[in-house]
Amino acid sequence: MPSPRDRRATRALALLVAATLGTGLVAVGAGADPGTTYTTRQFRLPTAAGVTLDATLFVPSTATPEHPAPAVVIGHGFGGSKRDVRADAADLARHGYVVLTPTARGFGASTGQIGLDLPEYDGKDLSATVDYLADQPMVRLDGPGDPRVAVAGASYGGGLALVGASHDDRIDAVAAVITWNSLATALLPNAADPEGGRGEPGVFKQAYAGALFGSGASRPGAEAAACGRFAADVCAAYADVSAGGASPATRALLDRASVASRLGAVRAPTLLIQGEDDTLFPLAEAVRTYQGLRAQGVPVAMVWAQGGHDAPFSTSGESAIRARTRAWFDHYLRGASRSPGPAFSWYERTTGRVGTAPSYPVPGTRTTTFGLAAGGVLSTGPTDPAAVQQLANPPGGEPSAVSSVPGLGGFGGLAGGLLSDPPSQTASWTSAPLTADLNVVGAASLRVHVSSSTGSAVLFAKLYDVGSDGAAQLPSGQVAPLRVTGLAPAGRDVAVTLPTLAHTFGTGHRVRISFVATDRAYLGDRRANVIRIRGTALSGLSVPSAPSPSGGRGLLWAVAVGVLLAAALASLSRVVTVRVRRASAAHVGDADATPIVVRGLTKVYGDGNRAVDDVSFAVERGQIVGLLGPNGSGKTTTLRMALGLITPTAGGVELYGERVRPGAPVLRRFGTFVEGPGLLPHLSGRDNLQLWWRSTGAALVDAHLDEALEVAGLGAAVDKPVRSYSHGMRQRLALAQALLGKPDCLILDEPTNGLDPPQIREMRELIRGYAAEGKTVLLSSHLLSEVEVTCTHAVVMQSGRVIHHGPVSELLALGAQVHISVGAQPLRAAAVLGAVRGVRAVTDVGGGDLVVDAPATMRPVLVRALVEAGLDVVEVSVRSRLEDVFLDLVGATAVGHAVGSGGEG
Amino acid sequence: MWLELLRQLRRRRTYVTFALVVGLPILIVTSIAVGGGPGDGRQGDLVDVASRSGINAAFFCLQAASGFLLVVVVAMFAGDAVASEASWGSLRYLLVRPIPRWRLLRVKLAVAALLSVTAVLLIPVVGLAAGTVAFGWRPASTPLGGAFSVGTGLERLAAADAYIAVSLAVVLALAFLFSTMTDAPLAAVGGAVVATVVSQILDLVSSLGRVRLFLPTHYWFSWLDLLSTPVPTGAMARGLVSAVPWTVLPLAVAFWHFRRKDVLS
Repeated sequence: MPSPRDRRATRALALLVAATLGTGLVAVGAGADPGTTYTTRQFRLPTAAGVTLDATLFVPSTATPEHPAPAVVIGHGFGGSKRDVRADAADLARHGYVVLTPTARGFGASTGQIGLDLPEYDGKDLSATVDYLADQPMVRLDGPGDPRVAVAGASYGGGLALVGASHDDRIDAVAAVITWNSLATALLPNAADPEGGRGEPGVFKQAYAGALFGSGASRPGAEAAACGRFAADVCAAYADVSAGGASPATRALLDRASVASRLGAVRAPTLLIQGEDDTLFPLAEAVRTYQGLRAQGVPVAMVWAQGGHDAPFSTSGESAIRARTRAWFDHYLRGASRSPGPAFSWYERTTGRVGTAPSYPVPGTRTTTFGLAAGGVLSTGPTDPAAVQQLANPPGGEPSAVSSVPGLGGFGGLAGGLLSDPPSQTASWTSAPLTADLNVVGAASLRVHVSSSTGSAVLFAKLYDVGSDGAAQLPSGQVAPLRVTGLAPAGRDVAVTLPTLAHTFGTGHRVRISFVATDRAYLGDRRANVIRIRGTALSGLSVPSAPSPSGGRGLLWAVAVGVLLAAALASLSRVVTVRVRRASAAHVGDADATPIVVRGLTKVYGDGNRAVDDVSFAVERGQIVGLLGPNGSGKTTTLRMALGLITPTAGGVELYGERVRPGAPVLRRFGTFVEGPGLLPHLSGRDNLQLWWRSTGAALVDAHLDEALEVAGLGAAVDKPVRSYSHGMRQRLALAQALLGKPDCLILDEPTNGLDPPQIREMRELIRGYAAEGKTVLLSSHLLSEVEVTCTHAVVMQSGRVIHHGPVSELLALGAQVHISVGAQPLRAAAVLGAVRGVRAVTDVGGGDLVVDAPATMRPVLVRALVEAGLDVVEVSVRSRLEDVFLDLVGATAVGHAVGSGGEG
Repeated sequence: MWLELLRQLRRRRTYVTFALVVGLPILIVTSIAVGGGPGDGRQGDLVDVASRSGINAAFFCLQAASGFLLVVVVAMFAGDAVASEASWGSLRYLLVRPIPRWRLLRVKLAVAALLSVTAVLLIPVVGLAAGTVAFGWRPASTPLGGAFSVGTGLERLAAADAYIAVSLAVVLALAFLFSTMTDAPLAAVGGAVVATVVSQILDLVSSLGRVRLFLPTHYWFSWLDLLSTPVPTGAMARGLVSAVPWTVLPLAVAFWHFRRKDVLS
């Protein structure tokens, strides 16, 4: 029995896991204007006897019976619900896809029992969901009853997408994020089995499985304490594996819940995104699906991203996943000509770069072979079959080694002290310091000869990266468990596949292969056992190494050395420096990444003044985001930090996926206007712009100078010195400067300050036109009307903090007042309305008119309440003004979030 | 670099400064030529022999300019470099263009140095030209009664000018440092000039003893040793050595500071 402490830890883990699973995904779409509005409909979808799913349908305004749109079903993570993928679905709908988000059976408000993505349970539900979409007139059809539909999801949702695609041939594309190929290999991995554990079951991943099972079993409303909301057969299978067994029935069930067993039936183009920080569903899971689909000619791409079940994806990571998924669906659902992306890409942790390749394994991969020699040495020479090492499995399997803790990440998340292999339980071989980087992208393997006192053995193989200081690091916390049986007294040769990794063993580091008898995350062998391991005559450890991403390290060094040399030259002989900068100009962020992501941004000045305090928001492509707040609320400081002018005290800003530092090259994609113009008074307007543009060596033709000057509208004055300009002229010239080179994103600080009304109008047109081209604008203003008229989204700041963030429409709805004209009995009506949940205040303004302080979305509820009370409703209208909302928000913060605005008229 | 030079050269400030630098030697030569004859007869002053030859006139112009005028000119070119951009508000736009901060400083420093060197060169060149017109092309005389051939005289003049240029690097570095720290160009220029003057005053306080050896201006006039034959090089060597830390340290601090500073202008 687990101790209470263990149980508490498991509970915390379950929460963490559920949170991770829920957030992994995915929003899709493009092609259509990303600013498209959509409507949502919540409904219950009956799918099978006794099962109705709680579902939400998102319909973009562009999808009509005349112009039907493709659809996407998004599944959520284990222990979660449709609510977890709401933001993803909304984003997707804004890109013109009809989106359906059902809560899986057994979770949330859906009925039924947890079906583990089995085809007879969740598979049926998915087919019913597709049937439902086929009946919707705004969904595009490929044939009668066959909608144009994709399935996406992370973890449990990803499993559903893959299993669904193997059972329902109407599914046209799949995006599966951090999910399994086979639950057998994921939960009972066996590195000694060529099939990874599907053939011969391995060692139960009890820590993770326990956390997951707990999150399903401990749902409120669980009928039976033991099984919670699990279906009986699923529950029985769990009981079986957690007791250390794996009966054929259990293995058959795990197999049916996996795409592995029906890979041949999958025809839908499949995008696989797997996390490099994931000990639950490691990279090898995606690799098996990828290789199977590729072998049968199905279009498939695989992404190894930073993050996973052990470490949540970063905001920029999520936005990259969204962009990738969008490109995939645009290509395969809409026939967009844009490439759906490289067939394989991986994240290289040491350099932070992303490598791409036309296939996996990466073409040009070499294999470095080490021999297991005497004295625990991993030699570059041949294996010494006489060099035997012995290790012991303690009775009861305790104490055990710790390699990873679910949800906390592998090595990266753990203090070094936790990572320990008890010496008596360990056999290891360590190489000499490497003379060159070993860039592993793939799985190493080795052959060893194993014998044991019990005739079988459970071992955990680990590939360590030993730093020059002797500290051993376990890349991504990955362990390869193996269970070998049938070891006659003489023992036998075993081929071991080590974890699939993307990891660079740096020059001077050592490679270590260790075999350990126990691991806390797994249900190991409880019998005392003495195991002997030696290399075989055949071969030792083989490590695949790919060419370094982009192969550009040499080039980078060349550029770096070039910059240094040029610096020396420039200061000595003052020779031109332009050329060097051109060479480094290529690196300007990821084209698809979110333009601006601000995370936890904080600025504390020396005097303790917190000018900006934990500000987070994102500006997506095509949005016009208004940073709204009174003077001194931290808007300008935020913008300056976004531009690398001020160094944040904490947090950071990513522009197009690239972290901002002073002078970051990605800034060249931005047009900026910060706190008024900055012009050289002795130069003419034209010269100011030309010299500024050319200051980085950019070609003048790329500036589109004349178009920008047209915006400034200075006429002949453009050739006069700026010192003769009026304030408005300088302002317009500075805005023209921001537009030079048609940047992808504009950052404008109080752009309309000092302009007269016609110019303000022109400015707004300009900004809206800019966003309509798919470009992005972030502007700050202390004028509410400005933001209300110009922006699609608003970030409201007060005293350095964000107090609201969302679409302007949402902001308006927030403070909306519903006006209801009831005619007779206004007092009774007021009492009825006052009792409705969510109503903040009701004011009788006379003449039978009531003003209800409640969100506009509550109108139906209010009307129903009145009608049910037998009262008449003459008229219902909504009145909203950003001004009121803003004062509400600001006022609320000023008094410490005190809620309730009383009954002011 | 050339663009930055272009931006600076179009400024009225630059014209006026160079007009002053060209005008001063002409003014000096003219006044000596018109006033005529030696001054008050003090021995050992360059002014006494200024009218002996063009080279003599050039030496005198150097002496007259290096004490204060060139200090102000160099301080202005360097002190104005970054602070003026900050005061116009254009600094932030250059940084988000983006011009990396190091590169911006490097270019600014290079242009300030180029303009300063030009000014330091102009003084003896114009002095020599004007002096030759007024007093003729002939061997130079020293205040102590010696004489140089024309060739030696020109060599010594060039060496003196180079030494002065190195000495003024200290002013350049200080002004440049101040320029990265303030948004007011005048403060940067003034700060460097005041620092120089304070150093010169301290150098006069004999009770400071050996401490004076470490003042940045202590060896400033050691170039006058070039007028002796053979040339005693000890003081000038020490002067060159002392100029190195006084130049490198402020510049290092300037680069270090500017790289991490919050640009609030």
